[in-house]
Amino acid sequence: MASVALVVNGQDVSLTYNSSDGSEFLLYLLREQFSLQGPRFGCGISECGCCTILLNGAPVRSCVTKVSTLDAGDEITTLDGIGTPQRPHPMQAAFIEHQAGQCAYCCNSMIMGAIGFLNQRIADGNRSVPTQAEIADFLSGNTTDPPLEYICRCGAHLRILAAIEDAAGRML
Amino acid sequence: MTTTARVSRRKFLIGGGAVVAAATLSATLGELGRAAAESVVGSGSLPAAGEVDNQWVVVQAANPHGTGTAITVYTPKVELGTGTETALQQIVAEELYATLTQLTWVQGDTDFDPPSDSASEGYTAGSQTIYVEGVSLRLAAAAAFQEILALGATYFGVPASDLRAANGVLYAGHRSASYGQVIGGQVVTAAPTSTTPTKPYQQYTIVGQPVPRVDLPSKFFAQFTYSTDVRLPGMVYARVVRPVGRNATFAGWGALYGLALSYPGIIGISQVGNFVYVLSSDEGTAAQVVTDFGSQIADWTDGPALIAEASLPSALQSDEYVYASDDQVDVGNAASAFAGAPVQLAAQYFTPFYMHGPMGGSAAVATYDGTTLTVYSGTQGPGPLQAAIAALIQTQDPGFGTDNVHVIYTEQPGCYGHDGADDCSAEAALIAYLIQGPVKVQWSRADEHQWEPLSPAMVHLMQGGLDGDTVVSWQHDMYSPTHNSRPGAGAAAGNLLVSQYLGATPAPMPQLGPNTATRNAPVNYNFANSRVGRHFVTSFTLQADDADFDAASPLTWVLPRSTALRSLGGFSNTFANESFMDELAYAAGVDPVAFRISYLQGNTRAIEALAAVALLAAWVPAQFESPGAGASPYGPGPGPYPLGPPPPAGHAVGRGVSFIQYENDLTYVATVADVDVALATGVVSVLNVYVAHDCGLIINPDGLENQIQGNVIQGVSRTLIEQVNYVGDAVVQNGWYDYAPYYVTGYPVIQFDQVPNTRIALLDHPDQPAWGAGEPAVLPMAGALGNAIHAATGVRIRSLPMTPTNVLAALQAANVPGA
Repeated sequence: MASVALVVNGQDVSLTYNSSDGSEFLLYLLREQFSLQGPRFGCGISECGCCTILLNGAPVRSCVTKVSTLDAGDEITTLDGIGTPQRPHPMQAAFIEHQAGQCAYCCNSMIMGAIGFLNQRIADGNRSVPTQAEIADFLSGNTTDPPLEYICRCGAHLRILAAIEDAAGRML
Repeated sequence: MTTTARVSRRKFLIGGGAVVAAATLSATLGELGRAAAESVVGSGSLPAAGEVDNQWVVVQAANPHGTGTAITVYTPKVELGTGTETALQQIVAEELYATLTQLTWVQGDTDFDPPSDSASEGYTAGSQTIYVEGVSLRLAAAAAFQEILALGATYFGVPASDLRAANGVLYAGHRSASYGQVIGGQVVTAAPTSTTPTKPYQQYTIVGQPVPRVDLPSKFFAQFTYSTDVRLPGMVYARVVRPVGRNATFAGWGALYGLALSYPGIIGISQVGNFVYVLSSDEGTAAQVVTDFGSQIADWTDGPALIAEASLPSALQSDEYVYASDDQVDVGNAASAFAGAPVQLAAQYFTPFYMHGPMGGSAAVATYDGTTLTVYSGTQGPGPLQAAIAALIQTQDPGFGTDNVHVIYTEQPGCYGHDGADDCSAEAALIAYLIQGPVKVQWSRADEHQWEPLSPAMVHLMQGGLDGDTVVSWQHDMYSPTHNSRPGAGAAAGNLLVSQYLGATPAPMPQLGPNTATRNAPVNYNFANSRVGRHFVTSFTLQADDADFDAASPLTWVLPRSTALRSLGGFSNTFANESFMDELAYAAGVDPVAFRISYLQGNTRAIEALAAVALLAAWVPAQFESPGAGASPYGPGPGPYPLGPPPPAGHAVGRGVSFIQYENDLTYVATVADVDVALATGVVSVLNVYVAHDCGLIINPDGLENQIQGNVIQGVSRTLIEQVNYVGDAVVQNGWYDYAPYYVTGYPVIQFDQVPNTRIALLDHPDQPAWGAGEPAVLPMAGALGNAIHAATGVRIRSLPMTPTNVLAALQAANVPGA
């Protein structure tokens, strides 16, 4: 049994795993060891975004992220840790205001992905509020290679775009 | 009005007193909603005696001191992610003069909701929740409120007519008491009668408001428990090793069975019939082992191939596979009128197999304590699933009964119909029974894509006759496999995938009847001569008459297993009907909106919907120089799209209209779509979609808009992008898009940058019954888009999906310049 020291949602934790090469995927370990349910199993092949977490502020697909790629001290943030009903993250507040979901199973992906998208924008020195077309480009995988798409099946797209635009206005 | 409702059978925990109102959820009540013309909301006849009471509204004190007001609703209808839980709560709170925060909702728990023998009652499906259950719960709440008024009259010593109620409190002049206080220690049962007063709609303060969804915040804060989040102590994790095809059979362990079994964390690999599963102490290892070694854990004997995908359009019409036919509609003499028509049009339309594609693979948790098999399931029908699971376990233990199964509804990703939820739940139940303990079964993406029951391909043969600008004949022959193979009691227990792995056979293909394949096959247009022929196509053979009949494995699939997807046959039928209606309008030289309205005379609300969408879209009537030979300002076709700037070079723009009345007597939807067609590539971009929607009384306008948007977007996806592909007897798609490094073949769906601007007109009729909105707006989408493409290019595309490849081929075949 091996382990790696991480900071998960602000808490110092030790993530344990069985393999000798750290070939386990992060999604299942996070859910099982820390009872998290923000990152969800969607496809297991990095195509939909349901398992999105922030690794040191950047959105990654935890379903294909091997433990071996982590370094001690890495910071992981999940939907479970970004806000509460009493103190919602601006992105969560905007999703509620816009009622930006139906089954909402996918919404972890858009909330976490959009936060990562805005983090990157800020890091790049761009504090302009993205247009809905720019947000749609990001969520459609047009800005990454290979493309990382964020899929919604219920058809809440219009509300999700509006919510992210709104939240960006408050965050940037 | 006090009755002897069978409360004792329920497992209610009523500490002190309570008012308990029973309501029957039944098709009978649904008819109340249907009878729009003659009945006002909430009135009408009561269910026939003998029907099962399976919904309950319980009003109690909110605390042990006997004060406050708490309302608990027990219902077999479940929240599928569409917002009906919120809407139903609005109805109950309204009728009880209470607040939403006083409500507790218990849904889809078979301990409270006895299973129904009627297939239609136990499911949450078909846009029926609001118009069936909404009426039923309103009546139950109203009956409970009358009992509370009577108790209040005694409590205050004043006539009930002197009482006023608000927010769960009764007022008598300056005195007040909560419902809990006036109920005290009394237990009163109530049931609605034909004279139970309901609140006049003019007094509604909660119904009709855009109340935020009660479930969304917890979902956005990761506090909501989906079925994949259920954790039981000692739970192990299972993944299923699937056969190589629908007709394949287990032939023995494969080359990597031993290696897989030795993996750290793997508890066991087991097999019953064609059901092979891996058990692990952690989910990730189970997933990795099945992903990496799955094809070599077990060996399979290939089975016969399905009807080849390419031959579906002809095979679906062949006598070999059509097992039942009749005319659903036969008005006048359509055949002879067609023969005598000066202008005759005939066309064939085709739609492919579709998948539901829930965002996550189905997941279920089950446990068995030696007596009760408890299943946390995302099923649409907890009661029917309970019966089907009991029958499944009976194959292992003949003494096992329905009472030994407890299904607890636990939401999954949106299903849009009968996806893998039931099958996954049954697999979890069987494993839990076999290992005598708790287990989670998580379907992989490939499991869901390749093994969920699909929406079937359909073919439509259309014939129309024109005399001048008058339709003198309308004929539609539709060919379809079943749109309903849900599991349930009796023969339907064999519809579970895992039951079939164990040798059970599916329920017989359905008899001729309305409402599955035939939904919205008839049109609401008044034609003097019209005929709708329905032709049901078999999906499997049992080969009992064959010389080589194998009693051990008699089932052979000839088509992919098919079932209910949002609107059932309605999406395909409406594509054919509304496209062909457009063909007739153009041939007649009449504006497509005006053409439709001319055949809807007397159907006031239908005309209102078409007029509303025309207004919303600023529809400019098409001008035809002569029938079929007009010219639009921009496109080569005679389409009415003179708005906005001309399209860029190499592009054509056009606009199309489409209309339905859901199930021909419920919700009205009129839709206009604007498209841009890139002529060199065949890429269709949907610019705008306009929808006018009339579902009667609107319970929650924001929830309604959300549903309509979802239908529009899914409709675009199904029209332009989606199509199941299979080879041999196996679906080839195992992910969302092609990705070679993971050996993924994609079933692409709409992306954020493909979603159209959408404008919606909600036509509220508060004095009319509330109808459903979960499905109706998806029906017109394919017709609207196809008609828009025709308006832009002059080319009629009659097969879905309208992918760039298919559109470009059609443009080139028609010699469209630039294509």
